[in-house]
Amino acid sequence: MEDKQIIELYWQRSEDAIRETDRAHGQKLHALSFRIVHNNQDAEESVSDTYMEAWNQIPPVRPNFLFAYLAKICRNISCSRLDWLNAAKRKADLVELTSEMELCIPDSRLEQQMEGQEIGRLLSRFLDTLPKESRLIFMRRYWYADSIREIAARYGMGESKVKTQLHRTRNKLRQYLEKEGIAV
Amino acid sequence: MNGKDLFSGMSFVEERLVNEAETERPASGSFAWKRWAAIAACLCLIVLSLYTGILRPEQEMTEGIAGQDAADSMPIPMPEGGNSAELQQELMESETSPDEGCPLQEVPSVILLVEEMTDSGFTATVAGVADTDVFEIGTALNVVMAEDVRHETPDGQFDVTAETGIDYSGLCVEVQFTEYDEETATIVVNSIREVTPPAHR
Repeated sequence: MEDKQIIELYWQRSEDAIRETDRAHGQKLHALSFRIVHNNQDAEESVSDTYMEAWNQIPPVRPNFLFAYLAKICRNISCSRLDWLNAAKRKADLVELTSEMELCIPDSRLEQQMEGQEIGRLLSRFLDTLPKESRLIFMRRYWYADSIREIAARYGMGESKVKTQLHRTRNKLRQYLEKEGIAV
Repeated sequence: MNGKDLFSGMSFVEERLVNEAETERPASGSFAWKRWAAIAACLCLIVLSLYTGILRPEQEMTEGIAGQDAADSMPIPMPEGGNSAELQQELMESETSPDEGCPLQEVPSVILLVEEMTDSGFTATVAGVADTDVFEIGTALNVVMAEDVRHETPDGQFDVTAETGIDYSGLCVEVQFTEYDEETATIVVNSIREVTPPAHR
């Protein structure tokens, strides 16, 4: 089923929407999440949370690129889960408590998300200044978390070229952020 | 802001950039594409060489043979290269084969005025000489038709009515003969073609 048809299912509030989404993009979303959390169960939960988030947002949202839209949600959830896993080791009951407490905060992620959105805008502007090849390699490495070898195989180029491109792009990003007054 | 913030902040780049990285490839960075293009170009050159070196001359030869029936006098295109000697030899054999209905140049012919039909052929007098000086005009001959005699219409085509028997009485014919018995003044012919009398030629 094509993405447009899947989006229509969301708009019709049909539960087939999630089943078709999983069929079309489930594996790629799971792979993306697994690269971030490095845990199969966490990756599965991240993908499930992604479907739930998409179900809540569509409608009124109508994504132009369904996979990119889902992948953004999935990546964000996976990063949040990674933060949670890396937090100070807490006891299970404490975890449960803190989770419950969070429900009392109007939007506990607002500040963090605003910050993330601002960073995202900066990065989008920076990526637009790059040549296409550099942009694709940078995105595959730092957005999709692909390995150097995977990127080299994907684009039919040597690993050394991928490394060189990434090194140059990182230097450009540092200069760009300094110019924008952001210390890294 | 630290590296972790940047990595997390990447989640918020515009969807079009995310989609581009998933669906598109570098415009000119694909070595694999260039390699396949080079291989394809080499294959094209090989195919072109084979076509011009081998297949084309064979095609021309075939066309030459096929067109021969329609125009015997037209020159047959001959290949300039390749395995032309063998093909030319085959062409020559084809040109001189009785099955193809071509005139047998090595067989002499004579023009006769047919008097009357007989069981084995007809009686006739020499009305003209085509490519032999064996006979004098007016010589009386007994003509015996060979078993595989070829009857031709005035325009040189195979006469399909020959099997039912053709009455040449009173007609002027050009015959090709393979045997001549001087004592009995008999010739054996393998080809008969009706022609206009020599006086009008």
